[in-house]
Amino acid sequence: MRDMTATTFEQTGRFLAVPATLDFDKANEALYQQGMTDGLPVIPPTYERVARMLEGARRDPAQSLGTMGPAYGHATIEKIAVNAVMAGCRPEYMPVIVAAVEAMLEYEFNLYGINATTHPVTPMLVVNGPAADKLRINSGYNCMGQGWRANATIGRAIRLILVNIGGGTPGVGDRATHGSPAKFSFCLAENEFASPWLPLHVRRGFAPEDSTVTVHGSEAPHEINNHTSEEAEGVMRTFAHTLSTLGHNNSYLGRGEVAICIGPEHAQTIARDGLGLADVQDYLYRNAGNRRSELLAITRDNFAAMAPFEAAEEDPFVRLVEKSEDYLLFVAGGVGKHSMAMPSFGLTRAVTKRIDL
Amino acid sequence: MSLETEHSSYLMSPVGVRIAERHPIAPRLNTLKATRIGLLDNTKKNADRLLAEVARILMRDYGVAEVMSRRKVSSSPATPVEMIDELATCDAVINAYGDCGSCASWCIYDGVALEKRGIPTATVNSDAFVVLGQQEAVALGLPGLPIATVPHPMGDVSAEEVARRAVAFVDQVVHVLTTDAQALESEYTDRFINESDTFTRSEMVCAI
Repeated sequence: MRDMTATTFEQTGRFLAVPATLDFDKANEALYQQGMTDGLPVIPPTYERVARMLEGARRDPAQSLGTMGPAYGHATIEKIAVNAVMAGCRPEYMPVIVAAVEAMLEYEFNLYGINATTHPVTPMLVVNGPAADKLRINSGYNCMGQGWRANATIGRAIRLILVNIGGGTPGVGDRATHGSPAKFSFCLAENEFASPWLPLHVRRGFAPEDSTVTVHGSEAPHEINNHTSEEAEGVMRTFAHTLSTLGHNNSYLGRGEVAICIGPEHAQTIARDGLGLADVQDYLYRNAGNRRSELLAITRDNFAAMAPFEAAEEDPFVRLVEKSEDYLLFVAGGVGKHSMAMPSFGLTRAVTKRIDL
Repeated sequence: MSLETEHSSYLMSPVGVRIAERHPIAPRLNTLKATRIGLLDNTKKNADRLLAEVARILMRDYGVAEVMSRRKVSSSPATPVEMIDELATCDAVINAYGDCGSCASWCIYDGVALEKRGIPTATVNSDAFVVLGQQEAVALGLPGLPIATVPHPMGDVSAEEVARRAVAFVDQVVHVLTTDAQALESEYTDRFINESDTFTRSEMVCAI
């Protein structure tokens, strides 16, 4: 029974009632039973491991970056470090994780909605600048898949933070109908070396020598295959067509941002025709979307279809986003003629923060 | 022995510290007669229909003098302060509704904002999301926030069905707007969290 006379409540402590001397299996069982893991085994967060992790942050452990919904737990540097230990991070990853948490706490990211929603959204982290090489964050072959410690554990730490600090327990604070495999971990770097264009962080106002992390409230990635086009038009047309479906949130809302991770070969095909990323954004803005009649065939209440249209077209083309800049483009991947499409939660904006290396 | 060496024999907790200042709910109305009621539509499917039907019944049967309708741009994030200011000119507000994860969270957030402004509010969640809704209310410092419930789902039912549900629902609105605030707070504190086994646990989530 809640004490109604208390002025504050819901305190939780620094330590668990789990002895640090328990063996690995038993410690994991205790953490798992308390719903503190992602289902995979974790590194038990002993005081010594957390202290080592904090050395990588070089910040006051008691400092709170803010509260994370829906539980409104305080994201202190120490709590972030505990979760980073559990995820298997190295201490030098801490500045990336801290910057990503700072980014997620910006109002426009809508973390409260993203953590609680029924939509299968997860924060995708894209790292730019020297941090990518220094921390060996994969931006090439299989950069969205398994095999790289930095990608796997930084993304995993973010998920554990959302569960333990934000209260994103499945079926409780996290109401994702299905979730997605990307919710275990989704972190990569831009392949700046393979990109013919300016890197994402420079396009978002940072200096080339800055290291940054950009968070995007993303669906799991969907492949865009184009093995044959010799010109930019064909590749961009495939991008637009892949996105022009009725079933994702940007189609439903007619706004938000849509990310595309352009594979280096597709990037070369596009750049060879003299096009920049602004041209790709403009092409997608004009060509990705749905006919209003198709949207209204589903329901009278499609938000995108209800928007006013300037032109008195008989069957207007309803775009996925409000302006061309709402296409968040970056280059990553290995050799091969694939790119990846990531529609978003819709009611969220990507946020970029500098990494304090 | 220092605190830290003493404690270092235990694993550290990954769980975020939650500190919420507890706030009371707003005073309630003695009667709905001759009142002006704000209708906050968060754009979720059929919320407009439910609010319109409830308003019609309140004016016809309870003597409500006037309603003021406001529609958010989208269900998430929070209602802009200017709109809350406008709604706060009413005697009470009906805030509909949270029927999904993100919109339930923000619906509660709006309800809490209105209660803190002293406006008695009927905050509405679908029954599938009311446990999340009440957890939100606890996190935001109003464990006794009265949350009226409608059956889930609301998104795929006809206008006629919404009207039928409104008839059954209106009693809850009257109850949460006109019952003594203290009685209401004790009635609603932890009410849905304690009942959470019925929906979240039994069918939709496999136990750890």
